Amino acid sequence: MALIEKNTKLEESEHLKYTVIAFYCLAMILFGFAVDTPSQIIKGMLDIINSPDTLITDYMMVGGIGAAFINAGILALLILYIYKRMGINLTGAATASIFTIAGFGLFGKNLYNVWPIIMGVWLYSKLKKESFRNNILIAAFGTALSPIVSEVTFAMGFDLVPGIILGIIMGILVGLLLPSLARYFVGIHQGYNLYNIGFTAGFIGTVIMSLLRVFGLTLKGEFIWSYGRPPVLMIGGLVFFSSMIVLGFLISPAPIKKLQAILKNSGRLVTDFIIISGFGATLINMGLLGLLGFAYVILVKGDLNGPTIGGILTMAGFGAFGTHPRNALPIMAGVYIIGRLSIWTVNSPGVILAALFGTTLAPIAGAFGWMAGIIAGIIHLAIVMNVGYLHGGLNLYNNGFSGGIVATILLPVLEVIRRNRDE
Amino acid sequence: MNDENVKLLHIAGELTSYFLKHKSKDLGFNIRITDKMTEISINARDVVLSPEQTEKLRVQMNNPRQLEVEGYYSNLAGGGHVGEELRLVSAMTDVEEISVSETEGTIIRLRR
Repeated sequence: MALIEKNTKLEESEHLKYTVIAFYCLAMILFGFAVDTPSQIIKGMLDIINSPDTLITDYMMVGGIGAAFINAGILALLILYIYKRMGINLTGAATASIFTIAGFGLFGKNLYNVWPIIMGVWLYSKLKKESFRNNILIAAFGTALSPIVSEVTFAMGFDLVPGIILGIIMGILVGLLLPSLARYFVGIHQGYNLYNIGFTAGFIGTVIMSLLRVFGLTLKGEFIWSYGRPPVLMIGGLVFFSSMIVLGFLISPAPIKKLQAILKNSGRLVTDFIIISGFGATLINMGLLGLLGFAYVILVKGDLNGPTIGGILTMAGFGAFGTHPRNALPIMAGVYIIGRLSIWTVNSPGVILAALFGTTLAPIAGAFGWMAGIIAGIIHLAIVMNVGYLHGGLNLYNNGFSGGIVATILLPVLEVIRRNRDE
Repeated sequence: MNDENVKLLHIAGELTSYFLKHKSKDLGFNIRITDKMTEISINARDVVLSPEQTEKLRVQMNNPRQLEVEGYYSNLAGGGHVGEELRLVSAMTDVEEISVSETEGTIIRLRR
């Protein structure tokens, strides 16, 4: 009894949550230093910052494994520090945003290109006389459009200084647009697409890209993807996510019961597992999702690299905010099934990423059942393989864009079926 | 309509939706706006929640105010969906009272 009381108090501690999440960010940085030499890391970090960053730019290929993880860890740690300074409670949404930023810190977000977007959202808050705290989640997730900053700065033919100025201005303008659009778009799919900013950013990216194409401007980003499954990444990943499960069991007073409570939720926005079941059980769920993502990549003989590990980290992050193995598996199964029947192979880059990031649609499986989830996964793969052209890779959350379209199309149909059944 | 009023509409819609799902046919709503705060109360005079339902409602509503969640997701409250929206309402407000009695039915009082 005493242990349960103590653990309950421990769970309520914001300090504990910040410490644990900071530990995982630091672990990524330390891992980076362990796998590469300092000179390789410095060169790699500069290469990462100088890259155009459109989808897909694998930072492990651009700057090496060490620099990629250090970039990801530092970015996540800086956002965590901003949250701490602003007095944000580390609830599900905030935790998901930290892991999403860490994940995309391996392929698209870097220490240069995220800040103009965040500054734009901050400026929006000032102009609207709102607290920046109201929009901090939109700012953090909104860094999905960071490639716009890098693309304008480094790849459009400007000299460095004008390129930096124009890139920053472009990022700020995009940041100014994001809050009102993100709030509007979340209503369209009624919370069934977890990566809502991806849906929003997809449309913004499409408008920008279309305007660029009017003037014959094209992007210089290319497809950069490292192949293979380096043992150091396999071991590191297994230790990383397994430790979450162990830690969760140590923190949670009734881990199994609380995990069962998580699994009962549809996951539809806003489902905050930290509030519902506590931090310990949420950590277990995050660890399980991380291992599920790893197992999938290994079973289909996919590549372990920046994008796929980024996908696994994002899945794990949303293990605090809507995703759990029960609602994620049907989506992954749907992507796998159609992947087997399609013109692509199940371990090709687009299909693997669709299986991992497709869990943005997990609430469909959670709310309407596994069959609906499989159908959502099938449609998702078909759409995600086509929408990238629209925004030209400017939106890093391409699966969130596709997920929004799938949810918007499926939802009215599924609702009618459910209402008929209920009546 | 300004943002604050839109949020009030979402909160009111969500609370109304909750009691309509409990088959209420006698709902009273009151919103009082002062310089410092807004008080929202809803009274379903014909709904007497069971102890289990009351406990579940309290658990759902007993969450800290989260400006960042309100700022992003408030549009999801007040729709026709069955889900976690009461948790969203609780992230947008402070709960003053949840009471259930045979004579007055169920009352939820919030402020923001």
